[in-house]
Amino acid sequence: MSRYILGRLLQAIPLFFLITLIAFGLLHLAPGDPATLLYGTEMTPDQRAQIRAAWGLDEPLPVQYVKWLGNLLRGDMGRSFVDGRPALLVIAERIPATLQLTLSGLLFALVLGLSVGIVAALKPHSALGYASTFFSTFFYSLPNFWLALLLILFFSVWLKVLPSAGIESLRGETGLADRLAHLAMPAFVVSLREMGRLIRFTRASLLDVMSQDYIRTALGKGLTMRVVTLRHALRNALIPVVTLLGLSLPQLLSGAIVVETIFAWPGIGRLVVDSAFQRNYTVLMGEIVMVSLVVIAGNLLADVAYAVIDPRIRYGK
Amino acid sequence: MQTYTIFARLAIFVILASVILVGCGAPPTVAPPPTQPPAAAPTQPPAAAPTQPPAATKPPTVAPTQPPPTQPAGGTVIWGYLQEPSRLNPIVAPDVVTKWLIETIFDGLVAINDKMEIIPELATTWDISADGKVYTFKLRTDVKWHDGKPLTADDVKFTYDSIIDPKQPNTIAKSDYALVDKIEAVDPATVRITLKSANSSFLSKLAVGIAPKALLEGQQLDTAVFNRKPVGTGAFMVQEWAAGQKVVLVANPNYFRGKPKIDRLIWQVIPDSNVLTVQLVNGDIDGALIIDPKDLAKFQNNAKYKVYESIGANTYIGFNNENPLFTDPRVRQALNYGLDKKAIIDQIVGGQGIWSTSEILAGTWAYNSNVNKYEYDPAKAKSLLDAAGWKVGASGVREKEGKPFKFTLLTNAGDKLREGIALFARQQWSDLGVNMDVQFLEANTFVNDRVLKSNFEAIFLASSVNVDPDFLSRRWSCAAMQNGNNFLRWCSPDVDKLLAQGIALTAQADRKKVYDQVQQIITDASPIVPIYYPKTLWAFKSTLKGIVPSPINIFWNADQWSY
Repeated sequence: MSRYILGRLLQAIPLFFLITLIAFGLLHLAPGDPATLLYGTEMTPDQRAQIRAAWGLDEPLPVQYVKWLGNLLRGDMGRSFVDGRPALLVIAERIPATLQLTLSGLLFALVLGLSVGIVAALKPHSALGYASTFFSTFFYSLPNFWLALLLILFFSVWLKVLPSAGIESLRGETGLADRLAHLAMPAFVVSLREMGRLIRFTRASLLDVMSQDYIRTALGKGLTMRVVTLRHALRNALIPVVTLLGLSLPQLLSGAIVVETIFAWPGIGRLVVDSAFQRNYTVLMGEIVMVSLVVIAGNLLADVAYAVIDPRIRYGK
Repeated sequence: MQTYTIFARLAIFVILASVILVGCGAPPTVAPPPTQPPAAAPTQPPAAAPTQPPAATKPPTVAPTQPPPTQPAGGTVIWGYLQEPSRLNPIVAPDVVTKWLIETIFDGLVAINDKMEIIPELATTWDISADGKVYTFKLRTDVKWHDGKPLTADDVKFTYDSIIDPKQPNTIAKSDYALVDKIEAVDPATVRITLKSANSSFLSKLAVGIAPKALLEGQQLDTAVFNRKPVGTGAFMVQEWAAGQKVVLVANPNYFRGKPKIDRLIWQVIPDSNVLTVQLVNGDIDGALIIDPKDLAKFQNNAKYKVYESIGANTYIGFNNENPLFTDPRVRQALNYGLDKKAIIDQIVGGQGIWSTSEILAGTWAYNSNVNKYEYDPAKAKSLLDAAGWKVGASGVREKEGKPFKFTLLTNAGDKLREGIALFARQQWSDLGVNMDVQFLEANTFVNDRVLKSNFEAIFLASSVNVDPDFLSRRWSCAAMQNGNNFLRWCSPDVDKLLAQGIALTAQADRKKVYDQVQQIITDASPIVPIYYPKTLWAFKSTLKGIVPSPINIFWNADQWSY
């Protein structure tokens, strides 16, 4: 097992460098220049050249990349062009808000997705079974921005029960209830797509397992349906679901771009959008580094989790 | 039981993963930048406790149960905007948005009021030598920094020296101060600035916040920690800046014009303009810029809100005046006559604009209201094109020497108004026999690769808002073709001569005559087709009084706002 993990980690190193190289190239291929975007068209060409030189943007791209990589290996991601602070700090301070949003969204999706998926698989021809199939597809296909604006229209404009933006109230009551009220709509929108996926996967996988011979054997020896489902079927049915979770881990940290923008949630997703529009290369590259590390780690974690859940899977023998 | 373990493992898996990730990214692991001297950490003066309820010594005119404990007596103004400021330091604040907020935290020697006039701020009086080269400022002696130290002439000298310092690359408008020879702190309350040559636009450039020398000396200013937690002399002090979320300012009790009437001014970041409107309608925020004119009706006919307006920069269609199509002034005049500006303002802009004839803002002292307005006159437009040799060809498109009159207008994509106006112009000009194509480009590409490089036939763009009319030198002088913003490639020796006179004269009445002539010449040559000054609209709760918007900053008199 440890040999396997070590091997996977070694494989990840060249992969990581390749990702940063491609990302760096693509970012700098996009037209535009942070100096002009920030300082406008009013500055003289001399001044522009001076600022670009100060930011190291006047050097050839390969040189810029090597310098950036060298600094990265020394733990320095450079400074944000927009506010001059270390890019690492700019990114790090957005992580708590994003985690708060994505973790609550994922937990909500997990609880509802798994339970609805299980019930739908056990009673595939019931009303709930059909409804779950329909709604899981429906939820999965809903465009986030549209749903978010619709929820705001309904809950904030018409009913006036939920706040339309921000992470907490800026006056009056602040506290847990206020924070939860602010979290409700964005977390729901974030969870919906994941929930749709989870319902479908759980249902399909459990249905598959339930038709296996050993389930028939277990039922044959007189165990109740409840015990068979919970002890024998579910454990095996959850393996693909774990894969799914491993793959959605990066989303926890990359944030929800659309949802964070609409609900004014101060997370990573919005920072990505802002940095992209401002051509804030250092922060953007920092985010890419972080997300690619999480993707690599998430995939590895999912593989390891298989072995924990399923005794048949053993690596590196 | 077995299921329980599976769920527990899943939960542990998710939680552990996130805990590890939080641990990795948590701010405390980030080393503080070495540039910050330990003494410079700006701390909140204890006098400013903003959450404190009204002092007990005040006569209890209100029933004790009345005021909510978190709401200070003067009240809070929450302003919503699409983005957050960048660096709250007047020396290195690049963008307009940040400058809005900086003006409430810092003071300049002079300030600009709503009529774009220069008014005293930190300087009480100033004296300009007869040759126009030496400016002597007397400073107020009752001004204190937010940390309690007094403001002196050394701070003023430090601020301007830093802007000019070549080792500080990201300072604002360095070129504005290129003509400064030296800055001297004569005594703690006197500053003398000597210019290399007389320039009467110089005073307007001193409306820049003064920064504290004691907290910034010896640092690289564009990366200073100060920029996040600044210390100024202004009406408001920064209490908290939550990234991507809000900047909380509290009233400065020691402000030299008296403590502001409101207690807190909060800048909340709301990136989506629809949500911004919802927040204002629901009363979550107290004021915002009206981004979509369609929302205007919501606030205009509603006693709960008051709408304020000021005018923005001239919006125009500009030609590449070196392009053979546009070198003949009659062609440019024809296109100007052939565009119905009134229809554009009424039908496309919804009345939220003012007919423009000049780059200088209407209503300011240098504006010339007596130039040709180029009223819509298609007959005159056609005859001018005929006279210039462009005859209507077989296909209905005008031709000259076998070449059709055909060009492309470039503008940035995503701006509905600009798209509407560009398509309207295409229709009107095609009626004259001119074939114009419209191309919408991504804003970055448009500005960097096309506008700034004069790589276009025609562009649709807005000018900028400026205090002093001398900005026309940067736009239209022949020298500005090399190093400046004359990307429209039109200049004339007459205008150059007048612009040089304009900065040499000191009396405003004399200068006005010169700039009136400049506007006359430019309007007659018509290197651009000015269309309108867009109205900038704000909606605030009607209970908030004292707002007087200026074309450059709604917050310029925020210390006078009150409920």
